[in-house]
Amino acid sequence: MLEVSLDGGNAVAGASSPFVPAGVKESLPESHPFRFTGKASEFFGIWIVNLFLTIITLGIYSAWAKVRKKRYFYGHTWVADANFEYHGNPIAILKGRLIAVAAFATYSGVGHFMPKVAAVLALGLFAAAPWFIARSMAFNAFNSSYRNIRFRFHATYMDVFKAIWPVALVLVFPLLMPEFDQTGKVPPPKLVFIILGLQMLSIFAVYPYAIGALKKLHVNHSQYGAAPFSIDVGIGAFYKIYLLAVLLVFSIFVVLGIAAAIIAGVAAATGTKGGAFAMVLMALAFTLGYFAIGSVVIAYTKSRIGNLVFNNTRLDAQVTFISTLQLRKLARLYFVNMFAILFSLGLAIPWAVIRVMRYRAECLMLESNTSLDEFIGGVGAQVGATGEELGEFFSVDLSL
Amino acid sequence: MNRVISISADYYDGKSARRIAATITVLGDVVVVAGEGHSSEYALTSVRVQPQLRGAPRRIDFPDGSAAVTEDHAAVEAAFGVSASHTLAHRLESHLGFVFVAMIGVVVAVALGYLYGVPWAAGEIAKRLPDGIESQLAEASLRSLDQAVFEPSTLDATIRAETAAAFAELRAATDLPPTVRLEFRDGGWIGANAFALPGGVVVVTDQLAYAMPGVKETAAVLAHELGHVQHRHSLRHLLQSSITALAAAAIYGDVASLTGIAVTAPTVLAHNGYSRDFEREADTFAFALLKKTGRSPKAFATAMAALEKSHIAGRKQSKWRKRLGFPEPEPTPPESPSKAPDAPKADKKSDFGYLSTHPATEERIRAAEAAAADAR
Repeated sequence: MLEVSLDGGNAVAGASSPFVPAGVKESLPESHPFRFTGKASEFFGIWIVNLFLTIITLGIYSAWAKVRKKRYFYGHTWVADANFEYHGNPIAILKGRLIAVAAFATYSGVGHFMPKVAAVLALGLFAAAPWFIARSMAFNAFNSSYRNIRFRFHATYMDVFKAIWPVALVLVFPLLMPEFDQTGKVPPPKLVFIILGLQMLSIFAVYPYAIGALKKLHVNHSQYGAAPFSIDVGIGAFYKIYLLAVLLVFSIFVVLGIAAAIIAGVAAATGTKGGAFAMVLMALAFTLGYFAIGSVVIAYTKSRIGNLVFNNTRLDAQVTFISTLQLRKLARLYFVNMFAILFSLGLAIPWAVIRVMRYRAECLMLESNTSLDEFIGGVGAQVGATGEELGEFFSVDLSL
Repeated sequence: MNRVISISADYYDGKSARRIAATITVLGDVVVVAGEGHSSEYALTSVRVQPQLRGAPRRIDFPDGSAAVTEDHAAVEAAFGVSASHTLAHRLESHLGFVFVAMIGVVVAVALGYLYGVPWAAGEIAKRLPDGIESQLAEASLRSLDQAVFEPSTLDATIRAETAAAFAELRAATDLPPTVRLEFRDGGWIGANAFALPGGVVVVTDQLAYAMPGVKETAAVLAHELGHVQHRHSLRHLLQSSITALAAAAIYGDVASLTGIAVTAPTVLAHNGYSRDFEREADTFAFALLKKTGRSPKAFATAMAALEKSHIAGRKQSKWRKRLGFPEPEPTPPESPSKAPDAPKADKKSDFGYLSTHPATEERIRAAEAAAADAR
């Protein structure tokens, strides 16, 4: 799930293309809306068969399932009358998944029993992370193509390390936890709370940097054939988005708190019978609140970051992107999706996914100063899948 | 058979992004591609036709790295043969009957997995884990609880001695090893509570001992905790949480970010469901153990009622604690009876029961009374 640029699939999709009749010279710059043509009914078949076969093969099929899903998404994402294509090899993905499962099992097993060892292990994984991230991005790019020209990604260990090193600060805190002996002499709880608090703060401080730096890394080291992508945006813009997101969460909590207080007040005033009713109201309010906060916050960060990244990205100085994702529309999509998924016991997932893909495509457009025909390919080597799978398994979701 | 089939396609040479509107024709063993300013020929055996994926355009790969893309699936099948283009996966995905079977299969598999699969797997793993790991876990949990919430016990010496004696007597009546021990602590803001930590350390708080009318009732609560120890609930709980989280991530993980669903919701529901099963199991064990040691399960009912009372009294304070965001003790000990009153009393018929960690208190009191009646 590491898509920033044109490498298609999850990130991009399109609206109907302005069809230019043959022989008519197009005026420059040309603009080409993206368009996503996937249908919920078709994707449901792919999704449920994927799930079923994955279950009865105890997970083995999941690699094939992933390829089919990606092929479906890419194949239905169009721009300038051509679709994207995905070429990932299921065997490579399966190998990556097996390594990821082994790493995850080791980490969570050790984590429950020996927290300190787990913290050291986390740092070890962190040291390996730049390599995995670079491989993952390279695998995804290399296996994506448009008009039979592959995308490429190349970054060194140090390139990625520079983007994520502050994350190590967060991982160090568990190691600072005071040791205490068996005799019952206990360190002051205050110290423990201070360390936990500092850790939380460090997460807030580091997260925007890591996301922004990774997006920049991804775009700046990606190529379409021989043409390089580039992005011109400062890390500060990412901090601004996340800071506003935190304020957003805070204000939603205040509103919900006031609502809860009113309900509780009414309940207290009307006695036990009203109390039971108020309990139901309260439970409803919290469920709705949970969904609302979830959809608004996710929609906020995704739309703002999506727009920020695409609107500042260029391909070879000739192509620019215009992304117009709206918080309101995306939040409504997410909110309805959550209810649909909940009430259908998950069966509405394909429908929900297709809706979001279509909306994202509608909001994306590219403008080119040259004909897209001008882009030329390059040569590249095969790339293993391990990095991407590890990244996905640990839910390092860097997609838009 | 000798009819010539032409496929109209977009042709890309792989060197540039230029699109060439082309016609692909299969003539015997040769595939001919012809379009604006381009023509090429390939041996039929060297041409690779991509298997179909519903609704998506199909790609035809040529040995020189060029490729053609077309949506004219019928022509492709006629020219290259259906078997080359229809994989099993495609046939299953587009077969309405099989899609339906898959849907039923998935629903049944998820339900069975939740009801039997996860508990079974956790039980098997728990059996195979060396005891050393579990007791290490117990010490670690106790230490982190000591660190975060507990204070040294200041329990009255007589009550303490009587409680310890009752515990020893109960323990002796089970198959549990003598390493299973009782610890006394001041519960701090947790208040009246008892825990069974993995590895067989039972912790009882001073507040709980004082909230009970007598040692008889404390013993009933301890019997319940021994039930958790007997069934290794703490460990199984941890394992089940991990397994459920893994399964949820596998099913929803890749779509979570796209749809905005929080993967935690189903995990939390499953987690609470398992907790309730564990509580029932521990209750049943407690009733049997109480009878075996010449006590009445009625004491458990009295204990529940007393806890509920003490909890309501202490609720005002603990609510503020929660609001201030004080963390739960870590790792999460299995819920113990004192938390039971969290299940709202007024709604024994409502749906809250499912969201609560414990069977409704009244239900448990009734079960205890029924068990006591059987004993007579």
